Amino acid sequence: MRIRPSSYFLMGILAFTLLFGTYSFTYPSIQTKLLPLLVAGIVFVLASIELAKELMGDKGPKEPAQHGKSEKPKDQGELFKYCVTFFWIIGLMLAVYMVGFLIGTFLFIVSYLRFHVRHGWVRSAIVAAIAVATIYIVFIAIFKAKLFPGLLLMG
Amino acid sequence: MFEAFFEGLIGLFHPAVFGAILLAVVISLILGVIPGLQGGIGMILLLPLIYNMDPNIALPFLISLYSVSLIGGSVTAILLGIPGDPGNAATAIDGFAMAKKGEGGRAVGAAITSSVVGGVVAVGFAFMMIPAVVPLVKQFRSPQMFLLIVFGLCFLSALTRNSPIKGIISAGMGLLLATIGYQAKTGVARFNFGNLYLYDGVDLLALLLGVFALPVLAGLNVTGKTIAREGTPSPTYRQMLKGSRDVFHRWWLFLRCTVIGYIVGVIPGLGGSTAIWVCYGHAKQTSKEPEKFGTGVVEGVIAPESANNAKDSGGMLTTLAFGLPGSAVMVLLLAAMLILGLQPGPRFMYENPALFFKMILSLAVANIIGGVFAFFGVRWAAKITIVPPHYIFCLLMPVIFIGVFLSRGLIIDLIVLLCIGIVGILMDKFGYSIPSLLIGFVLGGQLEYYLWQSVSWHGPIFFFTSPLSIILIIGILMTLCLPLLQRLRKGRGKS
Repeated sequence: MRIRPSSYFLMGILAFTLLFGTYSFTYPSIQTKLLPLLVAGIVFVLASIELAKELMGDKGPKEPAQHGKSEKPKDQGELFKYCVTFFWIIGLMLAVYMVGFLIGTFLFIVSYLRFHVRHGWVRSAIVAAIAVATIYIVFIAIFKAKLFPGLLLMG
Repeated sequence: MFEAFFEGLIGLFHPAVFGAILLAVVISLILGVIPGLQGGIGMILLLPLIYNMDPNIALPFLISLYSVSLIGGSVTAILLGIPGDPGNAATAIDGFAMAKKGEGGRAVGAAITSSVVGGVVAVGFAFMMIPAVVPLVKQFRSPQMFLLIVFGLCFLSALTRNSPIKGIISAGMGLLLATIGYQAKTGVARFNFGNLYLYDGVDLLALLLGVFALPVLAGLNVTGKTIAREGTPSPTYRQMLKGSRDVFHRWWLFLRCTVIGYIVGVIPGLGGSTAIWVCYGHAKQTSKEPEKFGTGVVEGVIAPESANNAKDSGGMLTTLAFGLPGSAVMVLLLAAMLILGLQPGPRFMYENPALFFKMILSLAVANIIGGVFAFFGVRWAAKITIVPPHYIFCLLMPVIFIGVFLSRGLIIDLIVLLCIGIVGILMDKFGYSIPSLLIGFVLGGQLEYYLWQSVSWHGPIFFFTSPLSIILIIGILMTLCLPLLQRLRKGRGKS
């Protein structure tokens, strides 16, 4: 019995629906619990069928990525690149949380272009400055949005 | 109805509305030429900006954003052989072949003209159908709306992916996510696990950006190469005018493909790719020289491009009249309407008739403006594709974060965005339908509302209150059984 990555994903779906289904029982009225119970039950059954098919080695029909622009990870290299990508996204999130959107964005773009794309400091800084200026003009000056100032810079 | 039509038409030329359409056209053409940034991405990225906008400005703006992106996508499909959008994939076959023969300008001119005129003609079809649609939508009460939503979820899930089970699982997950937060009827907070953040449920924008935009940008970063090469020849205006004339010389093919595209657009779940490939195949089959398709014939460009924009009018009519989105982009439109406080569905047509007409007319106006801009700007448009994907990633990621933050002003939404983004990438890679997930999420609240309204008014057997309900039930059963029957038939055929 071969356990494919998609099988782990299905197990996650099963856990998700089980959580919703069992929690639904704790709600007092039928109006509160009926829809989540019903849907969780149906999804649980279907996910179990799909998992059983996968574990028994049914390859199933080929599924082109209709919405997706990406292809299946062919090798560990692509998986590593996705991990690096999410490392950068988490880095941006932390930067925004600590120093706010404007400074966080500047730091993110500079470090990304310098260390990931291997541009020079000056070029990276110029691109970052233009991007931050554009964000400031569009979101703050024109749309009067209030962006998060950052944990360290909060009044 | 005529008053509403004229009110909608005149409203489109209000300076603020027209300015918004112009801006949307420019942004859309730029995004459309960048492969990997589908037309829907523009809508998603700019969704946060519409929160405080007047719906009369916001909705034409969003519609224009999407409808024109396909024109930009056809330019890269022809000049570079790289479709800017999956809807331009068929155009790339003969369009790029024509470009290699030195007829790139002719192909571009034909693509722009057939796309623009096809979009405008299809808007006319939509208006012709409205007198038939209006009496039908008035028949829809709560039981019929509940069954319609179930039918729509089943239909879309069964059709949008090769594995209907995965489609239904995706829709079910969307419905479950929609149940997080306060239940409208009882006021009970569900699935918040004692967490204050989840009292208001999952943020719609975080979900949209997480499942759509994040996987796209992550994919671009993983790809990492420059999409286009330097030195791509620019088309000349003389060639482009020749291509425009080709469309009118082949008016019968153009008209047939526009009609096919419109009909495919009306049927939920078939998707834009179906329209273009059906029309490409039809053009080849009906051609006197079918063997020349693929070598660079202008009919191979006219056919798919006519259908491309025509399907949007059909899809929009279904979405606005029945509240049933037929494609991922229509889900975004539906989400935008919810953000703006509008309730999509049958009532929308007769409670907001002027806005309804304005939305459909904006398709035509945006196409015309987009066509003019594209015609004169195409020589510079191809240069945008030289922008490396890394720049797109690092410049758009902060914009996505800002967009999510502006939705509710909560920094925690960024964590939700990231988690949903990971799920979105996994769903895409393992063959689950993201549009079904979104439709389940967007329609989940309405589904539950209509369910309990129906039970309150008609009791538990509300399913059988009218012939329309029974028709919908039959439709649901057929939708669920048909893929299974097809698989059984295939299995017998193989054995």
